[in-house]
Amino acid sequence: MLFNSIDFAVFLPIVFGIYWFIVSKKLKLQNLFIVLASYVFYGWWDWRFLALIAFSTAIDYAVGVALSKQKERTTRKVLLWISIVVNLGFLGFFKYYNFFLDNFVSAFSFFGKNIQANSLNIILPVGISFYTFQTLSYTIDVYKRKLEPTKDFIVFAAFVSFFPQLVAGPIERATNLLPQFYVKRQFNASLAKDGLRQMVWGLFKKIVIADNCAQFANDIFSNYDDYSSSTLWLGAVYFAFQIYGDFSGYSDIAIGTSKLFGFNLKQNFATPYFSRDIAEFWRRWHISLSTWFRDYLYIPLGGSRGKKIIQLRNVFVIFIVSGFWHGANWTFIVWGTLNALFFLPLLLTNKNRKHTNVVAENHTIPTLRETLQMIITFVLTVFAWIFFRAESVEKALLYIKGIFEFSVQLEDRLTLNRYAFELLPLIGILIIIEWFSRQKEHPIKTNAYSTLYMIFILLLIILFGSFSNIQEFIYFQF
Amino acid sequence: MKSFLKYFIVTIFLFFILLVILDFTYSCIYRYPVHARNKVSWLMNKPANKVYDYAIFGSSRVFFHLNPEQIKSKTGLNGINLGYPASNNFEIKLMVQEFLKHQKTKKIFIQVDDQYNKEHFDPTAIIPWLPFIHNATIYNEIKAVDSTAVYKKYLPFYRYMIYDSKLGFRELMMSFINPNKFESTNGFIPMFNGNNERKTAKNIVLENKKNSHLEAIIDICKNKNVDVFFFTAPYYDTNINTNVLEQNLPNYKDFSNTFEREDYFSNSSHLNERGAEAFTNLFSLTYF
Repeated sequence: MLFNSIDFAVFLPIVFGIYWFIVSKKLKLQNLFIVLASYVFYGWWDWRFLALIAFSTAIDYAVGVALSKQKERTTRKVLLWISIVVNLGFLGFFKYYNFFLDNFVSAFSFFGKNIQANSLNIILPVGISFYTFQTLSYTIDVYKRKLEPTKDFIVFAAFVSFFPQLVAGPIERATNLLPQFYVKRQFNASLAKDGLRQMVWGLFKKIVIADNCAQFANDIFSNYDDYSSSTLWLGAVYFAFQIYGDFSGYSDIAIGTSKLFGFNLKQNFATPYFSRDIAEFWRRWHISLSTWFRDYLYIPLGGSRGKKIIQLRNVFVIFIVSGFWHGANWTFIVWGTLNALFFLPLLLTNKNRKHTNVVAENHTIPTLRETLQMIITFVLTVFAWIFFRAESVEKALLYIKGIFEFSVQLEDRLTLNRYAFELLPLIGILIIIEWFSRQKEHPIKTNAYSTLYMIFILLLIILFGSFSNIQEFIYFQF
Repeated sequence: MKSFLKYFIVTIFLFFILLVILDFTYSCIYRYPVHARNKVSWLMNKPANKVYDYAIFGSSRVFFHLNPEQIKSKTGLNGINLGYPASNNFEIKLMVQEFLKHQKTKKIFIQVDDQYNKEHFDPTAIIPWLPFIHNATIYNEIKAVDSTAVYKKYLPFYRYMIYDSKLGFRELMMSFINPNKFESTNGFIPMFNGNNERKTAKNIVLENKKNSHLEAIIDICKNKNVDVFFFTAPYYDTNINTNVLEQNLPNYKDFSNTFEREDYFSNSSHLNERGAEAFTNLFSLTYF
């Protein structure tokens, strides 16, 4: 079920009504209802894959319980590996099987051995990368004794399947979300209002920014050989805002929806395009994934401790794995590697934690130095996005080659088509609004004018939303 | 909960008011534009009881093919091209109906082709009619073919949102600043050379049965005492069983295989500027 669909617009009030008016008396009922609603939400896409979530839930629940009873180190390790193998096994099969098969076949034929192997027609279960990582974090935390495992299966099932963040995150840590299922939720009007506003802001980013940018980005990336350098740059910029609007919009709707049900999820985006270097960008973009990799991969590998060569290895590992997490394609691996390369100078000069505060923290206008830093970081990010968006590395390279031909021409198709004039000002509006709210979780936070502000955003959605070209959320495919 | 529900209801109410205001504003602007951006709006805003010697209706195969100014220069007859791209028989019927309600003519020409058997509406060609959906006749017609007509009429601003690329903010703004290109030529715009699609031969097979919308047009014309003529505009290297059209339609004339010259065509279904000039000449000689 898409957040920007009529189905969800009907589903949400029904679930909200039942949750607060019928099952609100008992904690067990609240949790059970969340599981039911979440399974309906997921099954709306394809009910057959509910079995996969249920199986993954049962395995990790059982592993958690077993870990709590087991003191012996080796057995505990075996239990942890069972969880890792099962979860990553599913992920590997559904997401990476064909990729590895095709690459093995190519590698063998490169060395003169032709082998026959048939690819499988595999449907990638929506959200598998997200809930797999969420459940893995649970077993790892229980194994490391950072978290008491839950004995309540319904609570655990609700934690795994919680519908607002099930299919595209934020990837919640058990340490943050699980305890929220232990206490009966009392309706909190100000939290719910805030959730509603955050949802509206998310819809603006998705329907107005992302879906409108998508039309142009898709057209330019599909026909890159017909366009001049200036248009190709514009296409990459449109894609940068498309993916930002799409994914951060989704996260805002997910977090806002959770607030309606009395839950607080972690912030997933913190105005990443105002970052002053790549390290800061990665602290502000898809925060729940970045911190997941930091805590469960980067730090166990040694993090930024030890020799420089080990630090470099760790940085490359984390960025390449992060790229590969996004999809079974070399483009994502190159995208991850590029980001590692951008990060490298900061690591070598020990400047990777230089910008931990928000830009222009105590003033409205950024300094010239800050502005230049933000522009350079944005350009680097946009450049890397080209690999993320392109269908193959070869196409990405041809696209970049087109950019560096330095021809300037804004084609008629771009200037005469709908929203060609309006789109850039709309992106401008997004930037201005986000700039002035860069220290907040979202712009429409409670204040004297928040209702008027919300009406203004609703007006922008109605007037400029791309309703005839509704796009699926990009991160559903991951 | 009470305070949240109050907040939610107030927001929804304000949102609804916003939709009503926008619906009203958009509808007014589309009904009375500074510049009519499409032919429906152009037709609906023409002074009433204007007399034409003839009017031609159809799809893009009329819009791009027949130049009333050229006919006027040869015959002195004052005509209008009301072809609208992508129109099916349903939209053609709407156009004829509204034209005859407000204007006067002696002859009507309808272009029929591979769309002949279609009874349903075209999702693109119907869009310019939607600002006029509160007109009872138009609504009843649309309701008969489109099961979602009721939402388009009664949900404020819904029709402008779902067709945002054709009726959205940009088009609205353009109706203030950008005049259309067909007004000065009485409805004609030439099509320039396109791709090489014209080299592909086509085979069109029509079913031998009557079309309810075209039958309705014949009835309307009979009641208004207007002569109605049907014709098929030229195709490039295309076989079409026009005997079906000949059997089912009065005063039918087949021009489908009139031209064989590739340089007359922009694609297999559309003449280019040169082809349109030749076809307008032939059309004029045939009928006037």
